[in-house]
This record gives sequence, C-alpha cells and structure tokens, in this order.
Amino acid sequence: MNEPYQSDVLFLLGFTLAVFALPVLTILAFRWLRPSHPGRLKGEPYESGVPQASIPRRPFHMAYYNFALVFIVFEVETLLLFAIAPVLRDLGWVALGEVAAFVGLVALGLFYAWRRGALVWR
Amino acid sequence: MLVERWISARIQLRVGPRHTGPYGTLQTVADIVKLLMKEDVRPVQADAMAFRLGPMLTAVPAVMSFAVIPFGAPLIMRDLNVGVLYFLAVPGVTAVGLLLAGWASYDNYSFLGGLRSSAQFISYEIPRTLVVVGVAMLAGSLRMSDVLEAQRSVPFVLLLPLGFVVYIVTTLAEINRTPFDIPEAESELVAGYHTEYSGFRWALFFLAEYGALFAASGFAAVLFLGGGNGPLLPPFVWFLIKTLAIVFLNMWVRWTLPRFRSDQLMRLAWKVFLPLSLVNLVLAGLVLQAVN
Repeated sequence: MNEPYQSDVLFLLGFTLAVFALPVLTILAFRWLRPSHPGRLKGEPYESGVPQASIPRRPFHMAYYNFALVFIVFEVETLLLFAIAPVLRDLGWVALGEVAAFVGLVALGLFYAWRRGALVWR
Repeated sequence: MLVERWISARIQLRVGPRHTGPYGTLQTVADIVKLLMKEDVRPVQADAMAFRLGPMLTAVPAVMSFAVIPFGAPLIMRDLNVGVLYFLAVPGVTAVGLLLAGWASYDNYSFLGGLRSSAQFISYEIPRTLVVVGVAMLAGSLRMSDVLEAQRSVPFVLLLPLGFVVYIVTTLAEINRTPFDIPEAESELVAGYHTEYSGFRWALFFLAEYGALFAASGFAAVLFLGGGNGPLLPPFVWFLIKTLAIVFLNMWVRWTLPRFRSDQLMRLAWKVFLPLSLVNLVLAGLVLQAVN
C-alpha cells in the first residue's frame, strides 16, 4: 500500500463520478428545451405496428445459461493467468512449464465442454 | 462519425452528407443538436429506473476506458500499474448496460437484442482477454508505458501475428459491429436493445459504440503496433496514425461484409477463436523463451 496506489484509486473515483455526471446533467439541462407529449399509443412498446404479441418478461432460451456457465469458468482461469503473466519473463523454464500445464488444463476443460455439447446453440 | 459516413458512401458507391457546411463537415454537429432537442419517449410499462440506467452503463465504461490509453509519450491520463487489466475490465460493464436496456424496455425486440448482445459480448471477451495475456507475458508488465517500452525495438505484431488478428476480430464482435452486429440486426430485430430509445439516450448508445471503437483501436495500436513509438514524427502523431488505420480497417469491414447468424457467431467464438487464443498463448511462451 504505497502512496501512488491510493492516489490512483482516488483519481479513478473522481473520473468515474465526472463521466457519470456528464450525461446526467445534459439530460436534465435539455429537459426544458425538448418537447414532451406522452400519449397512450406513444407509450406502447414498438412491435412493427401490431399490438404486442407476447409479454417480454418470460423465460428465455436455455442455451444462454450454458454459455454463461462456461464463460465464468474460463474468465476466472484467464484472470488467474493475468496474475502470473507479467513476472513469467524472469522465472524461467520451470514456471513456464507450470503455466503450460495450467493452460493445458484449461484446454482440457474446453475439450470437455465441446464434447458434452455445451458449445452448441440449441 | 462523419468519416464513417464518407467511407460507407465511398465503399457502397452512394452519396454521403454534402450539404451541411463545407463538404458536409457540419453534419455530425447538426445531428447532435437535433438529438438533444428530441422528445424522450419511454414506454409506459418500461422499468423507469433501469430504462434510464441502461444507456448510462453502456456509455460510461466506453469513455472511462480512455483513462489508461497513452496518446503518445507524456499524454496519458493515468499510467496505472494495472492499466492493461483496467482496460479489459471496465468496458466489461457494458454487457450489463446492454442487458439492462433490453430488459427494461418491455419490448420483445429489445429483450432478445439485449440477451444476444450480452451473450456475444461475454463469449468474445475470453479469447480477447487470453490474447492480451500473451502480450502481458512478453511485456513483463501490465503498465501501459512498460508495454510500449518493451516494443521499442520490435512491435509485438511481428512476434504475435496470430494474437493481433484474433484481437482485431474479437474486438469487432465486442463492440457489436458488422459482421457481428446480430444484437441490432435491423432485418430481424428492428434495432435490438435500443429499439425503444430516442433522443439523447439513443445517442448515448452510439457514443458508446464509437467511443469503444476508438478506445479499442487505440489499445490495439499500443499493444501490438508500439503506440507512439516511431521515427521522426512526434509520438502523438504516430499513435494517431496507427489508431486511425485500425479504425479504418473496422469501418472497411463493416461496410463490406454481410452479417453472421446468431448461432454461427457463438460457434465462431468458442470453437475457433478460443482455441486460437490458447495457441497464441503457447506461441507467446515459446517467443518468450526464444527472446531470453
């Protein structure tokens, strides 16, 4: 926990707030300038001119769930790689072998998901 | 944006904007003013809070990612020691924004569009991130300036050509541009997640897309092309040339290729680009040993 680390966090905090504030203020400022005539028909969801055929708050395709699960597995593995990647240069062959073994495991996981059909959109 | 219109007009042999200002240069300004003055329509049944938050969560990360881009030697807002990771993590929030916008609109098109875009986003996120791991290995740091310093003699595109290609294509997919713009496929989903948006909120989605395009191209220029490194010209000019070259490539592809189908898109991400990015990682390891 050295000094630059804390000032980085402070900077990011301020920057985030500023970037959020900009569109909010613009929207609020132009509230007085733009027209606003809400109506019953205007407030209906757009469905190419016909009344809404089904309610959008409904169960959706199972395939999204599969991909979400596989995504979480691989994303975590990738993040673990980020922890070691920058120092790999100075660690030499042994560390590289260990990382290769880890990547091999990841590849094995991909192979498994592939064979089990988790990567097919059904 | 104006340049995109010029390029699209040129490639598809039609006339771009010509009448607003000299050679149509003021067209974008006119558009912005018009969008600001437009009525802000919200469907009655839409979830008001989520409807407002959606475009914000899409646009804000795109702008925030500029914080760590080195625009040339001293021009960087903040040279974080985890800059590379920051650039990958912050735009990730966009997926939430798209999903939220699509869900909140209470519209079938938006709902499907939101689901598809976040599914696509997270699928292409993995090969893209893995490629960047390779760069981090070679650079020996996650700090942007160190990544640049490591390329002083040889830009990484020569060491990891495969990684560069994978990065460019997956980036195209992540920022939802043709041929990967299924989420907003006009011919089947009207406009996807932003069907119900109008005026300034709609503009935020486009701000997000163009912001992400420039940020990701700048990032590619830094990671693979050596950013501001180059002879004679000042670093900023070099950075700009490289970034704009990649932006142009993006626009060229957009106006040339047709669109993929949704399932083809997912197959491409998981069965082609993910294995390729693992291969790239192995190559990066070999290159690392060769350099040592």
